[in-house]
Amino acid sequence: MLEPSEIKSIDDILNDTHGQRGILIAVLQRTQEKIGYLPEDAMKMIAERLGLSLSQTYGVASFYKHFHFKPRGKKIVKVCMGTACHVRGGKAVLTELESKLGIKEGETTADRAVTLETVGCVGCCALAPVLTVNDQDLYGELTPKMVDDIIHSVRSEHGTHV
Amino acid sequence: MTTKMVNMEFDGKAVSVPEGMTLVDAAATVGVHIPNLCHIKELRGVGACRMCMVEVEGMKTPVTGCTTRTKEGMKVQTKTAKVEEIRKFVTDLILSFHPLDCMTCPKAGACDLQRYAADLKIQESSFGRKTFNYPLNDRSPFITIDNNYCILCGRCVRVCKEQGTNVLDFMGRGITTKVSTALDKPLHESGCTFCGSCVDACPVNTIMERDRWQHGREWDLEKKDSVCTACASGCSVVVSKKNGKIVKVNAREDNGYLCAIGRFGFDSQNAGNRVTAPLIRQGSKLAPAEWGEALKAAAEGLKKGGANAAFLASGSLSTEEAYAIQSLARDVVGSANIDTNASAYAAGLVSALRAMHGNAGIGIAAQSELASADCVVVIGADPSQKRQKLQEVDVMIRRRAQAGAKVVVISTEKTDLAGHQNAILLQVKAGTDAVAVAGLMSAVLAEGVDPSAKGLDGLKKVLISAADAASASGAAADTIAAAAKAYAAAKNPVVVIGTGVSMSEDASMQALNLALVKGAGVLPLMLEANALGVLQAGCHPDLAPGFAKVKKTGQGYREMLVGAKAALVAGPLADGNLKADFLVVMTSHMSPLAEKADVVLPMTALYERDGSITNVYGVQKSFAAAKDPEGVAKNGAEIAAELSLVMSKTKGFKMKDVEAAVKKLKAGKQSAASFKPVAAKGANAAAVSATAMLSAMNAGMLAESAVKKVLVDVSTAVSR
Repeated sequence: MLEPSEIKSIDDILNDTHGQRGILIAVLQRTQEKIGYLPEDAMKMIAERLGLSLSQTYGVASFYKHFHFKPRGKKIVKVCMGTACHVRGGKAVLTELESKLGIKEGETTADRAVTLETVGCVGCCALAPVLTVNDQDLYGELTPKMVDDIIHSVRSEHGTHV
Repeated sequence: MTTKMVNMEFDGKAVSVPEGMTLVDAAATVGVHIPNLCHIKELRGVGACRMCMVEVEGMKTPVTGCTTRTKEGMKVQTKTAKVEEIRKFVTDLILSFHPLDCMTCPKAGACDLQRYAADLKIQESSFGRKTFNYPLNDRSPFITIDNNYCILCGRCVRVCKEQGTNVLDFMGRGITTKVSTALDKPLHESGCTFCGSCVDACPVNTIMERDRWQHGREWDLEKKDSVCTACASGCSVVVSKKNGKIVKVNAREDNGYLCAIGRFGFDSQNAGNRVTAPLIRQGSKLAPAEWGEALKAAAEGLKKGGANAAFLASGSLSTEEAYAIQSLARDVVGSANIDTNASAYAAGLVSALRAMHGNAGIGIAAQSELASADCVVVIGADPSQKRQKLQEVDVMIRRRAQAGAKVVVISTEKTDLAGHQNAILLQVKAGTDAVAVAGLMSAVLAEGVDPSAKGLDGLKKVLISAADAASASGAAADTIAAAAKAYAAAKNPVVVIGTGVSMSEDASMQALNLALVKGAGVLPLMLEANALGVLQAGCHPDLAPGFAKVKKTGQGYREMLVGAKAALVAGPLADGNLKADFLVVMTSHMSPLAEKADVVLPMTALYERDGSITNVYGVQKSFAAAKDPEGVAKNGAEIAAELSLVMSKTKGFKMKDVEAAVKKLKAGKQSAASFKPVAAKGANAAAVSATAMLSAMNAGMLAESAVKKVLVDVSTAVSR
């Protein structure tokens, strides 16, 4: 169920864009900004107000990787799977993270602390393999052995650079 | 509406086809097949699959046959080396991710992909094989979705969307796109009505009837054309049997839609409540009996009733059955008391139609008329797929709305149809329909429509101003104006009059006026499959067969319910509170009324019957039995004929007499336009609401059918 404040935010977004054509994606973006993801009740509310079917609304939203339908963690860990990182063992790092966090790629830990994702290329191939946290902190030249420390620092409030 | 024909060539053959039709459809009309995987007749082409590429003289590159439209002088080549090469490539690509298990696939023989692969001589894809390992989605009743076979043509998504059910869509993107519901929920939790349009649309075996696996392959099936008689739409179907048992029912292509009851309701044929043998009352129980004894008992009881006996014929009976029953009543038993359910739910409409007919020649809108309407005015009707009310009519209207037609809904509540974005709702207070329609008419005239052109000069005198109508009915003045604008501008309008107003002669009259002023087609929404045909057959106290006047009028529906010496009821009744000293019920399934009967005679059920009906569009449809009857059940006309001979050797009649008489009837007043209904007795004599009637209509048949559970689920499920 949505919180009253969340309902109010979606309502504001919909009022704000009322009557505009082709506004669905913008509404979805702004809703996700407010709530962090797109809960089912929010999707229902949007579909109904825009006069679309729920399946159509999900059809559009699921096309974009940017939209999420499940709650996401406080920290988003993105492991690079680009060519350079792949060659230098990015997959092994991901596998280790998956087993240590107890979740699969794309999932979030039960305490909603960490979401684990993969990314195409971050653009610093010299440091491969790399991962980013919340698109801000960067960890480079990784090995599976470093995963424990990384998890520890990610879970603590202030992550430290390696 | 006449379509302009153009002369053109397909593969060098000169043909004449309608202008502006897609090449795929136009080719089909002259027997040329252009391969396609994503095209659906009547729906806008999307040009997605690239199988329908053809070469058109004067165009540089091949074009898609599903989006290119016919023009005078066009020369089309459908089988050149160039287009064959393209089709081969497309099929090759599709086969790279489509399992090649045709040897066990239940769709084999009816699969478009299989057919094209064979035609193009492709055994195996020349690309690497991609497998998805999607789990089989068999979480819903009646329909399974196996995405592993899906070729992403989008036919299912489009039919679902066009008809307004809107539960399927593409989820995700690229090669991992999946056809599914929102959040991949089971169909019955997504607002699906289980009409199965997606099953008929699927070119492969992704979306299938749930129990098709190992229940006969296409070439094992014996196919018979039939007609569903569960509601007024009377949809044309193809019944498929294996070993004498029905295994599936599909919509016939020209019908385009079939609801869950017509498609999956056939399990009712051998349900526990099916009556398979005659029953005679013995004390507090009904005991099975031989036909001879049962007919004798029924004959004796009806004889005692004589001129006071009551006869009630359901509108679900075939014209033959109805004719035989009125013949039994009037000629053999000698009673003038005969009526049908329509008198209980549409008496006002019937009498209004008759009153208008003499001077204006009003016609029932054909299905094709509704299919091309650019404005539909729905008065007092709530056709709804979600609430299982005349689903097919709802689909036809929604398809038009989806194509941009305006739908004006005049109703006391916000109906499902009124929720469509192209709908204009005039929400009126109870009992003010007539006023609202009259006000709408004023507004239509204000838009410049001239009633004198239609010979309706007197109309202006009886009108109410739009402003007065608005304040009296509670409908907003600006919505009345918007509705009037849409209706006045329409080229092919259709006015649908539902049972919500049809008990009121005044409201029906106003609705007919509105139709006449624009020359719109009228669709009087009867509810039962053969409501019109049963009237035509003379099952009415004032009507002899062929809408002739009777010599002696008898009792009507409501009077008969109170208590007759003897009564015969054939088919489901709107009101089960019938009282009679001696009661004969002819039925296919047990019902509360049948439980009270003294004699129950087993009738053939859906798809077991033969005969003919006149459906809601005024179309006469004949159908043959698609399956042998269960037990010793017989056609109602046959039962009536045998009963007549038991009662009187001299006055009795035979089945062939009935057939000959009905043939004459049909020849006499064939077309919808010449339909002449006659006034019902007392416009407000016996109001039975549409909802009550609809639930009574198929209650017996569906009582133990799996469809019933789904229908309940659907109506309580989350809305779209």
